[in-house]
Amino acid sequence: MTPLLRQFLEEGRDLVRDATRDLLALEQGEGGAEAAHAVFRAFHTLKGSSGLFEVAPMTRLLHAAEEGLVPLRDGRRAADAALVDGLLACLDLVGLWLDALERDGALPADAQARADAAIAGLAGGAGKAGDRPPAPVEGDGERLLEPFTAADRAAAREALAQAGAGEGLLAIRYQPRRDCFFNGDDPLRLFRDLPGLVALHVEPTGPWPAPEALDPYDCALSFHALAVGQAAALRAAFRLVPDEVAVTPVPPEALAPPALTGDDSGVREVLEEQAALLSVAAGSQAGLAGRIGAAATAAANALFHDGRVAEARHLAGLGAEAMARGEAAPLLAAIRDLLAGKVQVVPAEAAARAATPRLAGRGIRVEEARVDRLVALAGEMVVAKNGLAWLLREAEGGPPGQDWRRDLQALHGTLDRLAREMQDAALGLRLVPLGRVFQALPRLVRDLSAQLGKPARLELDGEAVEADKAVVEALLEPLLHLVRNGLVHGVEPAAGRLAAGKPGVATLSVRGVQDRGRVVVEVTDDGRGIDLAAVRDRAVARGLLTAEEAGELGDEGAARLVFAPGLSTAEGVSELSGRGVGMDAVRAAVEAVGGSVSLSTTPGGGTSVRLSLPQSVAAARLMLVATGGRRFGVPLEMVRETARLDRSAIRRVKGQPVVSLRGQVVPLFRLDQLLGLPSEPSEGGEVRLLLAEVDGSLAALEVNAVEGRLDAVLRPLDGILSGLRGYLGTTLLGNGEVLLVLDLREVLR
Amino acid sequence: MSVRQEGGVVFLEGDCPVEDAEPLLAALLGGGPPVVDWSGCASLHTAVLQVLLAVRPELRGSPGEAFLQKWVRPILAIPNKAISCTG
Repeated sequence: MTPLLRQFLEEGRDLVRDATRDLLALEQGEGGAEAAHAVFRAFHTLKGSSGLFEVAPMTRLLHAAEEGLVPLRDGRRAADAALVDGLLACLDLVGLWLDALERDGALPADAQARADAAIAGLAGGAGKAGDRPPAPVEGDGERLLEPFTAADRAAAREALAQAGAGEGLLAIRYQPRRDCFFNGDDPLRLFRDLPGLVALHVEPTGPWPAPEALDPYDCALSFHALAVGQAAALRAAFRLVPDEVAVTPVPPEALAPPALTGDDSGVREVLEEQAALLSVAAGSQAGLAGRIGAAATAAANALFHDGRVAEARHLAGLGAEAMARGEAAPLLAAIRDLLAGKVQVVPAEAAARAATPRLAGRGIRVEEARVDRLVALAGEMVVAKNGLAWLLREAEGGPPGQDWRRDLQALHGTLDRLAREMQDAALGLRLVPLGRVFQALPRLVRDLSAQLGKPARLELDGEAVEADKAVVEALLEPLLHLVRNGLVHGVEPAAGRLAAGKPGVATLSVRGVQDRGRVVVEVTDDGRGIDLAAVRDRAVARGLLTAEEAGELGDEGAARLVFAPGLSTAEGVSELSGRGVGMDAVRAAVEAVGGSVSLSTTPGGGTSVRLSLPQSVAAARLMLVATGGRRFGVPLEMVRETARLDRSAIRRVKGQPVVSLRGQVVPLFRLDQLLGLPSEPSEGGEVRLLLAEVDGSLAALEVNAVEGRLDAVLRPLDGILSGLRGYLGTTLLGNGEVLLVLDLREVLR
Repeated sequence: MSVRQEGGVVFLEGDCPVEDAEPLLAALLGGGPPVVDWSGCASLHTAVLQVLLAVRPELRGSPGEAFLQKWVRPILAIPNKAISCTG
């Protein structure tokens, strides 16, 4: 990547973000002329910079958007929803394309078609926005295909398989004006002359009147069609009725063919033949590459003609690889998986999109002052190193008996401080503001609020609070989830709110604060709250608790249940009480970066979910413990205290050993047993305990010894260890020993 | 005139332009169960299609023209569902 492109990507993302923010403000009637000018400038700058690269569709799109913005800038037009929708769709597309540029160095193949669709969307918003449906730009394949039958889709797959370069599947929605017949329009004729038509449906726009009452010249029909071809050519066919027609590209993966079942006997047969051929080929080397190539081609062709384009490409790719390596096994395995219906091949683009969460950027921008501090520390480090060299020379030439301990201690002190500050400064480089994920929320609330018909406003606070880049990025999904949940399930419809004496416009707030080395983000809605009694019942019904346990459970405990994996499913809490779809996923995502979640709710008053995360994931304060003949690290934040107790203080309640600590009865476990290690008998009549606190519950862990504390940089488990549960990572001890760091949350689960 | 009535059957023949919509509707309202023979039809204006969709006469024959055969016939073959209202 050239430095120029890198700069364009960074600035481009900033501009997209700023313009999105300003547009949303303008729509709310905020920001005034200044914001309008800022939006115009952002589009103008984006357009100008895009001209430096091979991204013609992007430049064209931005040019069209800029044109549409002129009346807004000049105060001749207000930022109405239609205009804002069109412009936001452009910004979305630009954001997507910036990601593609970074990833692939080029725009995706469908960029032309998408630019056309977005420009058409702009034209709708900029002109008289009629009752034409907005042109969806991406991800709406399912919705676009809704009017079409399985047979239509199959026909589309077939046509796509034979499509030429630049051709794609397009959904056409044509809603003729009621008086169109008087203008000489004949919608049916347009479809008759349309190249590449694969499906056509005609529907009345409403119930038919009685035949006697029918006005034959009042057009009450709407048309849905699918066609395969070039978007521009199809739009040209409808050029005389542009504001009655939406031509929208449909991502081919939306046509997802059903799994390969017994019905597709033709394809099955071909695939089975190739599998047989390949299993024989595995034996002899002569002509192997040729046979692999032939088998891959035959299998890919069969799939291709069945409309399974993604699978075909996948096999063709594997075939080429297999040929190059002279090894049939991977191809054979893939064919067998396809036959067994085990794989669903996701087209590469969709996979890439799924893999990279949509954040404003993946680079880190660092304030100059932070770099300066690091440079200064590096300078001090050199001085300290010189001190060590001096000491070494002195020690070599000095009298043999001299005690160097004091000098060494002083030097160690200096190096210790420097190392600490250096680590601090280096970690500081990774700090990014929470605003980076918060910025995704206004758009979500705006769109969702319109979609659900629930008026809502969003309050953001603490955008400037900083945390490690990994922590902030890990917050994105949970935050989107919580805000969506709050609006969808928590907030009541406006009528219900008014009846309950609440303001019709709901308030969602997302606040970030810094709290003793942790970052706390609170997502609050003023909706109906969670019915905790219903949560208890559900938990009992699911067998998570006995009725007796549920009865003893306080509200706090019941609120914790919302995050239990078996409970917070779509048919679980949400329908009962207005919150909780996928709350276990939120918990898992937050815990993955060492965070925790808690929830409080007031019936009728709303729900608040609190996410507490470490400010930095890389550095950890550990306690060293020995058990089962091994040494482990335990994060200090999970240890409330350590204690020594006489063995006679251990009692049993229902067979479970417990100890009493500071007036609390706490279950006792042997850490070596929990870890499946050989037990070592503890010496003497005393036990060493760690009092662990995990998600608000206490447990006492018996260990052989507590060996002190350590500041460490955790390395995540990788390679074969990465699947191991119960460990947060590893760190190196001073003697070179690798220390495993325990995840007590998992160990105690 | 491409709309012709004979023995209780309305024949659509040749190109049926927009002007045919009104006479077609009138012919179908003439009393008796509406029946349309469109085997000689070569093209159908949208307004004429709309009358057929709204009134739903019994269709006889099958037009030879390719577009009508492939695309319009299936549209007319789908009965009006709950959306129809003849009351």
